[in-house]
Amino acid sequence: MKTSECDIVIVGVGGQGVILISDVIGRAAVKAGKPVRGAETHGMAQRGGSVINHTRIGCRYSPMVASGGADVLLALEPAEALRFGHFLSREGTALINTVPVLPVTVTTGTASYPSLQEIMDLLREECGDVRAIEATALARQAGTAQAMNVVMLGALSRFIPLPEELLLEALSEVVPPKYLEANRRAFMLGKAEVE
Amino acid sequence: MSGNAAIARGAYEAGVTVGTGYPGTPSTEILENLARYAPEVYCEWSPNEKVAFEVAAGASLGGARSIVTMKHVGLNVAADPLMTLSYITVEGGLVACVADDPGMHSSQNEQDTRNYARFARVPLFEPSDSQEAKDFMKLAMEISEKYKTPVILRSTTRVSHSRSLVAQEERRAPGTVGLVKNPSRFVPIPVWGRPMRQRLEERLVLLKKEAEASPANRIEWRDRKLGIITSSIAYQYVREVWPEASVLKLGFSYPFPDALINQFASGIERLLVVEELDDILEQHVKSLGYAAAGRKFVPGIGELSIDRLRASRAKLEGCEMPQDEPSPFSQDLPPRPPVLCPGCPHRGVFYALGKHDVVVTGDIGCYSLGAFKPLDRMDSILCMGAGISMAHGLEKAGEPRKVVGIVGDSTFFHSGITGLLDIGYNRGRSTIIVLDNRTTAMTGHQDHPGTGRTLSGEPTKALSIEEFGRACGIDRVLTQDPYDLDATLEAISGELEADAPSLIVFRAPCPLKERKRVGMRRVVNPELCKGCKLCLKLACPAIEYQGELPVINPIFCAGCGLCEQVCPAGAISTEGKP
Repeated sequence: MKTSECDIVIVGVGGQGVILISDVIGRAAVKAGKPVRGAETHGMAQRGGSVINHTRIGCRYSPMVASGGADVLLALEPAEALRFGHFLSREGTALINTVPVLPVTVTTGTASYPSLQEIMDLLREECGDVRAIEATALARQAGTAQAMNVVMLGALSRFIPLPEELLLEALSEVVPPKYLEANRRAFMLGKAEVE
Repeated sequence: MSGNAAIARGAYEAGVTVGTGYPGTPSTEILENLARYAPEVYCEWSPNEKVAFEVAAGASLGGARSIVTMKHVGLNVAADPLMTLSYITVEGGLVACVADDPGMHSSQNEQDTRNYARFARVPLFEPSDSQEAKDFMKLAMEISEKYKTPVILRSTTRVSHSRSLVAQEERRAPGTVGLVKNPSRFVPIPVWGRPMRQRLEERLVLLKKEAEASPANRIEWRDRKLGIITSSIAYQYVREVWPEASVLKLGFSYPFPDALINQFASGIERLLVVEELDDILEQHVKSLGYAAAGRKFVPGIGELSIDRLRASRAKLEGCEMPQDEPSPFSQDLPPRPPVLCPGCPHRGVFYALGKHDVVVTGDIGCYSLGAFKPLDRMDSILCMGAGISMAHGLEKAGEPRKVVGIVGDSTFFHSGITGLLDIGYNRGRSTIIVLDNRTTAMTGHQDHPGTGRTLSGEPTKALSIEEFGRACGIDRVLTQDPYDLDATLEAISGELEADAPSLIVFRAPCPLKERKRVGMRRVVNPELCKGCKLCLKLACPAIEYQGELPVINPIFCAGCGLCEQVCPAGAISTEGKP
């Protein structure tokens, strides 16, 4: 039984801007008059560690998504998509930024990093709709590589029950005015990528 | 609104005028949010939780409504004032907001704060979402003032760091302040303390009646075959996993509302208690004579989740469900442990310590990440301040190697000074290192007595760690730039050889807080690089190595230059632009 309208799991690495995405969705949901709940990672795990954020639109109870319950898995980093892939529903959609952030375990040679192809293949075994997005390159094209998270937000916007203008309005509330134009461009590029 | 922001909003609406605390995940943002209501609310980061609690208690005795915030382990530090404040009572309402960390996301243990409510005989509130966090804060304040008792508002990581909608209300006007002299009430010398002890028990009887009638506790009658008693975030998971079951939801959970428990338990066929961490409710319900199931089906270690409770439900219904089935995806994935950030000033000190055969007793903070390979230069962590005191104990016990104690700047002021005093007083010989990055970094960059700024941003005296060291009787006190690797190595070697206690303060501001590079970005010259991998021993996230030659990621490089100093081939240099 589904207890919310749309469940989103956003994953990445500390510092990539996962929280900003959920913040924008949360604000847009409030503007749309929908109940919204979410859970974030703070503290030690933020120091370059894996970060996961749950956002549930139209939800009354648990702020956290159950395994196999996410309608969308938004991954700012490919290996993290795999790490949290079990949250994704079989009917859901995975949106994956293609640029890896190598963990120290890899850079110091104690572990190896899977190829993007392997990651996509593994996810496709469990879920039909898995899409790679060149978000880092698109963000650069928009004017700042830092806006990679907003490119991903733009892509996500096509899969969640919130109007685009409310998402953009919320975005303008959370990014500094001088970066707003670049961020709007990033959003549009991300959206165009999945259309 | 996050749970923490909602607790702060509740305090504001309740007319709180004094808020104190010490940063600690997941509680930190309560006070940061409350401080936004300045000047209507005075807020401060106190040096530690005990001081914070006492400052709030002082304000309360004068009639002001106050809150004090901390994480679960912080209440251990503040337990002393808590245990007796319940005797001498409060005047203005006082609510201790304590955030637990089930699952140990960012903590050294998983203790359950609910035990303290029973231990100190004070009322306990447990919100399960942000709206309740705000509402319960206001209820807690009313109860505190009505019964003159401190109250604990217990949050958890998932309540504090979850967001949900909150309806805002007006602020209640604060009352007047002025302590009314009443020694037999406020001075617990035995002759007055013994009647206080008696009154404490009498108050608990009244509070139990209050809990039984509280809007924070409610029975939700649905199917009577299964009834679940639950509290806090576990309630949300219960509603997802057992949507058909009747629920007794406890928000004002101590003193136990026995009349409600009796009413609920006698109205259902099978009773289950779902609580996170200790089996406090379960044991109490059993003590009332009910055959309640709980720990047998619901895990008591780690945080609960919908998934874990689904497994509990399967077990309860007698079907086998694969427990903690490994995700089909995560096999062979490279682990991603948290690491010291690029440009972190702590990195060079750990690297330098790696050159010596010493024992390192560590402390709580970002530098606990120095325990991971390849830095691997921390041998123990206990609690705040123990980095200093345990070094002294190990040294006195006759540890054959030199002992180095490490603390951070905020931790030094929190409870490192008394340990250093012990070394100065009791003729210790340990080398103590303070990693001073000018902020409380791990919890998100809060000010402390050494930073020269208050929580509300006012300039103030920046208290000197070096002067505290000398005042504690340490004659050898050094200050060193941790980005200068040769000087760092030399300072550590010199002090390890000395036959006297010493204090080395490695001082450089956290680049994450300063939001700027330490220096110019470095690049590896592939023609000079011999592939010796010495630079990888720094565990810098900016240095990437995948089997050929190391490459420095220009997005991450903070320009600290440690890799350039470590490289024996001279292959790392600045690329000529900042």
